[in-house]
Amino acid sequence: MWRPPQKIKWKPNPGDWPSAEEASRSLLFSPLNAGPFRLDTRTWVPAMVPWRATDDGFVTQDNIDWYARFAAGRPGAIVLEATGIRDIPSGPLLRIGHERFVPGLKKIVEAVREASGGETKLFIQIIDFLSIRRRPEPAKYLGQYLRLTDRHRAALGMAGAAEADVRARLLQLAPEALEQVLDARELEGLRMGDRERVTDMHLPHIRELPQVLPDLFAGAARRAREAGFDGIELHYAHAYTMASFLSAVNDRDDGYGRTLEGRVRLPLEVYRRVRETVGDDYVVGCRFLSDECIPGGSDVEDATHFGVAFARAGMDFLSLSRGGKFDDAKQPAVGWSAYPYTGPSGYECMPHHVSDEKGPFGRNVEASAHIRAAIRAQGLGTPVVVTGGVHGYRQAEELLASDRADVVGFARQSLADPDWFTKVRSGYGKAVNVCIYANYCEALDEKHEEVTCQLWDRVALDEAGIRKTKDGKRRLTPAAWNAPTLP
Amino acid sequence: MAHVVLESCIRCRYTDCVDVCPVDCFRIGPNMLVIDPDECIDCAVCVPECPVDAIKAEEDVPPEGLPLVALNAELARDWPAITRKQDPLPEAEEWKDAPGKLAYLER
Repeated sequence: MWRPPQKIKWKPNPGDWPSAEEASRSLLFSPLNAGPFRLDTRTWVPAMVPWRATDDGFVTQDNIDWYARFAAGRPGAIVLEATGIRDIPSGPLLRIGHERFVPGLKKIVEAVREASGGETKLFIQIIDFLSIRRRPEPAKYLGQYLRLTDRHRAALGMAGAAEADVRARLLQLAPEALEQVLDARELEGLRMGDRERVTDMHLPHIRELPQVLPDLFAGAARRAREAGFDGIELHYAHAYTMASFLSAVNDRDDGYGRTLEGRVRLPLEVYRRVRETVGDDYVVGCRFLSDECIPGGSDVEDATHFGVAFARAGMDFLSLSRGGKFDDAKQPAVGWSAYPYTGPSGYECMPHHVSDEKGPFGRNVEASAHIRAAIRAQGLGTPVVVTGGVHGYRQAEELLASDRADVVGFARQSLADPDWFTKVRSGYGKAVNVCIYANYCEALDEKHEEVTCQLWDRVALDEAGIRKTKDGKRRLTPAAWNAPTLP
Repeated sequence: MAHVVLESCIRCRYTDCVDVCPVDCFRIGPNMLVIDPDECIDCAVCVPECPVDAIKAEEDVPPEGLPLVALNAELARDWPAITRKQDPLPEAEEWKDAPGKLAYLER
């Protein structure tokens, strides 16, 4: 994974913690009421994929336990992990592309309600992604997968040669010689694994995305409401389909690319179809990027345009992330697929404690606040969720007090300690397990292993009744926390 | 910046560290392990696993251990990855407290 060359080591600095009395007067633990979007506190657990679903995309007991454990800490809201809107095989990621997924999701809703005493809202993040293949064995790619054309034959001086002979020749070529024969996409297929893009207009299923996605998202949204979720977060961020439409590298020529209006068109059409389907009294927001952080990508001014457009269209909240693109991802090992958090843009998304002068804490605050200010300048009050390395109470409260955020999201910090909210609110902030931002969790995610935190996954492994990882070495949820004296 | 396997590992090679590493950054040689500094994420989960206390953060390496910082980087390029714990070397018990083991490093 990429790290800034400065290699400055940062330690978390949560600052001091409030007394229960101070917390009760805080903005952070005050309610937010914005139409249907109502939170008991302005705290938020952003979507995180914990790799606990079945291979068919169904909810498992481990998924239920995971969300119940977060809910026990009583954040204002939890966003359920990215859940696929299509009814297609997509590995152990949750899906909502068919009615058969609803009963399992309903169990998570019930578990969260029970564990939080009804205090924590539960939104579901719904996502579409395109196909990405694993990095192939070169022999397999050149001998089998690569679609041979006359262009290859011409480059090799083998016009009219039989396919088997051309492939045999390709297999003999040195990497530099291959660069003369394969085009950029083919080289990418060989070195990274083939990856579809929204700009692959020669592929009918890609060309037709604007025609099919609104209904797919709307179907997922209808099922989400049926399952009892409090609302929907449209996934318009990182490396996935909708973010790729918003991207400055989207040069589609069908009115869904090139200009800011063209790029935001499908995200708005998806939103409108979802809104028509779930009604005005249901929460619909989105997560999108304040900056793609790639050369030639969308910057904060583009994101400001999108944010204003989403707010004007009537979204109930906007949650901002940063980076996390395939474009600059590191080459995966053979047999693995590229992971969008391994390059410089991935660093911006989940900054590690070995950083640069800016450090890993609050890297997205400035951009998020800029977008929020532009939305306010248009007379729109749409709540903005700010995330990224926030771990201390003072830092979170200051974001609200300085009018730079409406809700504060804690992803890795809540994974390190889901009781952060309860502890801080009850005057036991000192008991918080503070995230060290080593990205152990991200490393597990990259390997598609059950995500846990090093601060708790080997604690009290002999506790009765706990569930563990497949190898039995790590517990899947942290031990319960009980306040020394009940507040 | 990374974690480093120091000379205490030589002729012991307990490999308990390997099982807990989330990024599979250990590399195995004939009689010791090293850490690939480009892969290590400095999570330090491996540090308490080592029975001979051979792993330290680069900035905590004592002056006499400094040659190991460069050695880890160099040897990690050639040695294969190890992702599962193995039995320690047969002579591990007798060598675990021995000083000056760098002379016995096999490449």
